[in-house]
Amino acid sequence: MQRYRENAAGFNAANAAVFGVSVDSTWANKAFREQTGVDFPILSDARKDYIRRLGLLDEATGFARRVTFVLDSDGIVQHIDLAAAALDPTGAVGACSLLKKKSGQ
Amino acid sequence: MNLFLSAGLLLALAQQPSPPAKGPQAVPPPPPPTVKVGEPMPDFTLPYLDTGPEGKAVPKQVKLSDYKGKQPVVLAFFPAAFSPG
Repeated sequence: MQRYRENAAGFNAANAAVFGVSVDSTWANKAFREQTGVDFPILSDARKDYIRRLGLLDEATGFARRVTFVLDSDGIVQHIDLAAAALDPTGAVGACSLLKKKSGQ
Repeated sequence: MNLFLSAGLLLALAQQPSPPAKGPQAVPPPPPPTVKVGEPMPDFTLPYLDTGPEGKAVPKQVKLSDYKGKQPVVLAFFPAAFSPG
């Protein structure tokens, strides 16, 4: 998440709203956000319903797998980074910039 | 193929080192997400705690469909708080 924070300028320039999502409690996520200086909300799917619906729940660990989705302003998925690729937000920033160009904003 | 050659071939095969046993790192890749590029993201409403004055926790929630028609959204799913990345 820290690397996403470091790329905040890129996301802001593309007018993208960024959210982290994990199975942790809201309290754990608040502590994590404050300790790391992450300035976007980290949402809690503590019941794991949404993460399971997306096929992202790692049944062995009970955690979500690392995946990043970029949605256009119509809510359509335009870019997906899986696993190690999702550690690096460069692709997501690029996808957001492309969306901005396409929309002509 | 004569018997002698066949026996020699079998012997040669038997002497080959066995392939290394697959360790715990040889796990199959995880299944892909159920949502693909070009498909609509299912809606959600999920909570978080914002930081208010004096570090006070302010309960809030995000509904994905509230952003529809407004701006792109990046959703970064990650295993757990205090994990790298």
